[in-house]
Amino acid sequence: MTNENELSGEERDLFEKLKGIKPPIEMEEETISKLKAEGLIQSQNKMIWVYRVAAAIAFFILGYSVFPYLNSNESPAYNYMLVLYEDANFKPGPPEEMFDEYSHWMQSIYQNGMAIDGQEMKTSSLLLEGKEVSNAAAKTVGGYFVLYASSQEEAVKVAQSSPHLKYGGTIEVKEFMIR
Amino acid sequence: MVQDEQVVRRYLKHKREQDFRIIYQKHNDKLFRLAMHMLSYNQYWAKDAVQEMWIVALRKVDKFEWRSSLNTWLTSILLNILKRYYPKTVEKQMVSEESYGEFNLDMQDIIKSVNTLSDGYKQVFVLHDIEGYKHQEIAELLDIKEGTSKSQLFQARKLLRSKLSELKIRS
Repeated sequence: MTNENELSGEERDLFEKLKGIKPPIEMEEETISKLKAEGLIQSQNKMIWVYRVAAAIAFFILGYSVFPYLNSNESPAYNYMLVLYEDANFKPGPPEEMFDEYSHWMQSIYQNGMAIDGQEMKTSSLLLEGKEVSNAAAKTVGGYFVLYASSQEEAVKVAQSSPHLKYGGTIEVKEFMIR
Repeated sequence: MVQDEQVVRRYLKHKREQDFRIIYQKHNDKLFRLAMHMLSYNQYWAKDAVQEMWIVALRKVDKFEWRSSLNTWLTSILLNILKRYYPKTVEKQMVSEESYGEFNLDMQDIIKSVNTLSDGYKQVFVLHDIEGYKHQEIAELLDIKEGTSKSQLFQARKLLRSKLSELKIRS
């Protein structure tokens, strides 16, 4: 091929415009419906992930419960739990900043191909020892994330990237016992 | 960067909607564009063809051995569908005029010019100059020789230049 046949800068710009062709907005949902009808995707009873992530983030700040259950062990959706501790060194930032930060973090984890959910918890708790019930838990748990990682190393990497550490919190990485 | 293999393996395990969405959102735009170019910018045909491709792909993905990228594999499925199920160039061109109306005037000259190319030239031009495939990949996708891909691109660019300058003169 001769150099004369190479594209000029102007031509490249012109053809670049063709990348502006986008599928119609309804196509994604239509495709999902067709795939469900073909049995290639399982129907979900729970909220779709975007709503779940958004709700988790909102409630992470507001402190309501949105995910009362996890999937059964027969087909685990998650295999690691990150337990978030909030001890004396934990210094939360302004809620709006935390909202943006956690939102961006969870979405980036998900977009990188990893399933993740989360829940904030009230810092107060009850400790049961034998017949004794007290509120003197050794550590304050502020919430948790559950995720599906290919290895413990990967789960630790995710934990290390969490904004929780930046605010002085600590994280325990626990692997699910899957039988 | 989404890790296709990890997401696909997870999809195969759970068949979950959110895993499919990750793959879909990463690849669908590019595949839809290819279908649009090859189907005279008819959005309905392009949508049907790409949806058919997803159905075929999910049925076969457990056999995919990751010797090529997922995108290349999906593209090869789409090209087969386009070849087997969609009307020939002449019939496609009959409906193209109304399809042009979907685009702004700026784009119309370009897509009209691209649409004058024969399917062979158009495929190579779109895959190489718009979607960034290399000649070796195009040769594998279309089952042609690398030299054929190069010469078809040469001819496609030549014809496009001529068509675009003709349209400029008219306006």
